[in-house]
Amino acid sequence: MFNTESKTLPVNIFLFLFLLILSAVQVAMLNKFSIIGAKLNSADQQIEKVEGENGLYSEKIASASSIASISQKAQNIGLSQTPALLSLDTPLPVAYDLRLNP
Amino acid sequence: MEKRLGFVLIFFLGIFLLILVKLFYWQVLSSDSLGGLAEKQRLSTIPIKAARGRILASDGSSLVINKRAYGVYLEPKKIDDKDKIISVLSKELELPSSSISANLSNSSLFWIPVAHKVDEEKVEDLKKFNLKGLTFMDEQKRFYPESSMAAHLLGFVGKNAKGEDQGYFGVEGYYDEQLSGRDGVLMQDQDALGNPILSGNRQNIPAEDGRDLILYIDKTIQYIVESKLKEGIEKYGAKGGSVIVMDPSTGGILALAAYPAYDPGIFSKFPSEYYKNPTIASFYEPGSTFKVLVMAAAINEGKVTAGKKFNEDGPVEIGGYTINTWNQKYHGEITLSQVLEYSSNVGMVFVEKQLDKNVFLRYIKDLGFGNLTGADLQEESTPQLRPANKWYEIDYATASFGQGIATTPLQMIAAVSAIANGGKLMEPHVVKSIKLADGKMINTAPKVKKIIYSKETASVLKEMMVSAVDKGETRFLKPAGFRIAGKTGTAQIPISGHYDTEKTIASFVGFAPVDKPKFLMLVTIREPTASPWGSETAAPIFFSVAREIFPYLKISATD
Repeated sequence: MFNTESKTLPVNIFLFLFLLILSAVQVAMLNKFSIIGAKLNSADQQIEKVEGENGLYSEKIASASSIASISQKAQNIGLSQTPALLSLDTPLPVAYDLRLNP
Repeated sequence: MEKRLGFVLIFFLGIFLLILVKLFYWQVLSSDSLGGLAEKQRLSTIPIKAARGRILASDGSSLVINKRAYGVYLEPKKIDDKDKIISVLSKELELPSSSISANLSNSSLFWIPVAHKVDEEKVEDLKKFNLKGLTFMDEQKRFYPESSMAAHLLGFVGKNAKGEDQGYFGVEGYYDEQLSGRDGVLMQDQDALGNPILSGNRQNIPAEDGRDLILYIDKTIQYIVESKLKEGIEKYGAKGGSVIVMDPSTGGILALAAYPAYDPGIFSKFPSEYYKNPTIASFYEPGSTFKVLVMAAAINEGKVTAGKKFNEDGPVEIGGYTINTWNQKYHGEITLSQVLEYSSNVGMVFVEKQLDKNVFLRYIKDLGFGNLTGADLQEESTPQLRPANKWYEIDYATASFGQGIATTPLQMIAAVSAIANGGKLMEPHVVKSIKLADGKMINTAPKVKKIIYSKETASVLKEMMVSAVDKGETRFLKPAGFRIAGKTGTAQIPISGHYDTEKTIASFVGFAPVDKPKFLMLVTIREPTASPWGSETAAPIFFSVAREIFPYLKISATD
């Protein structure tokens, strides 16, 4: 009654073509992955280079902002070392304070 | 004919069988070993070094950071001019040419390490020579932007027996595990050019960088302390000395300096005896600075008051020994407050006698003497207290004025903090907080070890110490208008069972502002030659530091 042979043939052809397409896609994707490694390597090297530069700048900032360096620069431009201490008041003893403010 | 065809068939079948057997051998029996070889060929294992944690001051500025350095290696198979390479490396890296030459003469080696942690500038100089067979690998080394500042407190990073980085002394040693972090590893398939194959095996265990430490150290105070200490050591012709500045309310160490010091960046160029931190690992007899603790104990027990009278009419005899005042002067009837002003040894023997012997020893132990303070610094040690049954009458008497009992400077300042902060013995601490790799902070809470004195006792002692400064030997040294609590100390140095008559350890301990002290400082000077007295050596250093700290900490005369 039904012609099963004629229905099966187009399905087989479809499956075969589908398999061929998937294989082609797999090969293309694997090919693409195989060259992305070089780009990843290059990106890693860039990151390493930038991190190295950051480290160098951190080192320079730390050196320039060191207290010895700032103190020397302050001396060079004539800033005085210590302000003079001046007292205009007579402070109260601690024990006396405690008596007033227990 | 058929027979010959049969033989040919058997022959070819035989060959096919041989091929099948061989294929079976390579693909089934040897599959594991061949698979392993193939994996070894394409799988690379790259160690990812963890960065060592930084050490920062209280304001977040750097005390110790990492900087890029390089390991210098030789590939003997690629060297074309051996003599030139030996000469250049020997000169540039200051290495003996004989050792480089000896390594190169070993023909079996493919890879020879020459030097580690070489600075980038030096590597750039080496690269200019364009020497074949010379190669460099990334490393890290410690960088100290403040040079030798706080060297004893920080410690340094050297190598352990396995050749790995390890912290020694100070904070680098104590927190070595936290600072080290954990190395990672990247395992991946790579092609012939060394590029990763993403569709292959890839396993990444990231490195966990070391934790950053934020210290209590105030860089400005540390700088002031170090320069004044150095000036003082030179001025008074001393062998060495130390200064500790502490926040008595938290136990946080604001500054710690000792002399002679070293540069932790080039520690190997200094004598190893300099590495030891004398504030935690050297012992001394505290002398008269100890009197404030004994006086506080007697007042705390209700045995004496500041105004109690004592007749200072001459030396006292104890167990066959004669105890004098330091200057052979006797003032007749004086108060106990004046005992501290005059720093009277005989007065202190009187105070000690009011205390029960067991109570006296209990206070000494409670104040932390004979035990480690618990400070987070490597290599802390403590002198041992004699057991109670080895204390004789003369020992109690001499201990009352700080002789015959040994302490470290850190133990001494921790004990005095119990007067400065209202009675609590604080555990000294260097690290204020720890910063994890993910940015979270772990704060070190101040630790009260024990409550030693009542607030009233502490207040009375503060006033007595203010009087000691205002009316004692240091009255001409202190800045006018400021109330500073303090006590001088001069202790003879015990040598081979007796005291050296000329060598002393001079000290001064003090704090300000008196009601709510922002800093407590102990200065110790070892064997000053200009004068043996604490009032003439350690005290001037104390006050010269205090003069600079007052405006910095916004301490006014009315505080």
